[in-house]
Amino acid sequence: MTTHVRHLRGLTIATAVMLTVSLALVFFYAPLDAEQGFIQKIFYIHVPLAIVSLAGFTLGGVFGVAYLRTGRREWDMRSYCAIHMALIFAVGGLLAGSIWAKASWGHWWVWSEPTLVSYLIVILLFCTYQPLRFSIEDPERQARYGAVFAIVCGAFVPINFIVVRLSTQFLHPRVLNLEGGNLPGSMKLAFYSSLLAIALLFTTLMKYEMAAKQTRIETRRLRRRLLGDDALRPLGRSAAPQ
Amino acid sequence: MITLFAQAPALPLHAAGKYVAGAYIVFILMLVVYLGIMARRLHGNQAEIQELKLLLEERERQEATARQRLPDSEQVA
Repeated sequence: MTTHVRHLRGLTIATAVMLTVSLALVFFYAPLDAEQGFIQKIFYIHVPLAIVSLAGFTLGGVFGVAYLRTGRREWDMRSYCAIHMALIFAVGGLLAGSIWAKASWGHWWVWSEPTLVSYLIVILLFCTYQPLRFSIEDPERQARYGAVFAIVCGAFVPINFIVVRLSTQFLHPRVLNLEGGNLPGSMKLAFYSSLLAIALLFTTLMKYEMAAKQTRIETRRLRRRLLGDDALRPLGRSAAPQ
Repeated sequence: MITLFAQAPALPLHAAGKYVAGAYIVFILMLVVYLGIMARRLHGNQAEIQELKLLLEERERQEATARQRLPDSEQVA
């Protein structure tokens, strides 16, 4: 059993339980928001998706540092999978936020809102990660350049977040702040359980992704050992670590 | 569970229900699509492992036959 697969069953069960509990808390425990009413329930999915995706991008950078320091390919795999999953979560967060904006502001998108535009910039930035990797054929160089990209862009994420927070002209509500946010206790419980559930989902899916990729690599290795190099189909270019 | 649901507030689905449902459906759809892709990849991997297993069995059978033939030819000699 590889390191990626270890604890996967327990993690999957914990994620499923946590998702169920958080959905129950969101819809049946947390009270309706006095200002926004039922639409505010979107926040329990939108905000955790956004937070976890941004954390995932940063994590990709941290794994990139580990790859450059050690030169071990599993860190490249971790970095790739973290950014891959973070991108999916970010698109989910963006869509959920857009639906909320339509319901609350009457527009799917507001270009004058720094929080939205900066988040879009981060997503577009990380959309170039896979094409960058795809454009490099040599796996060693691909991993190294990918790590450098992940570190630079990963560092950009918290800087961008702080800069937007310092901005005074915004429409976008602030759910959390340094004083703990303006949510009442029951809403806070629902929100943090959602955040935990989404973070667990991210970890589980990332581990599944890594396990799938690792299995693919090992199957290929097995084929080579059994049948020799001639039996291997040419790999072709791939953005994923090989 | 029934008591819990009885005490739970009724959801005002008439007001913004479609937006809230939309946001959560988008999330669940993305999850389902992703899991579908993962399942397809897993299926491909299983097929490849099965193919390798069959090839290995075939090779082992051939080697066993060759080993059986070898003592026979030695006896004849």
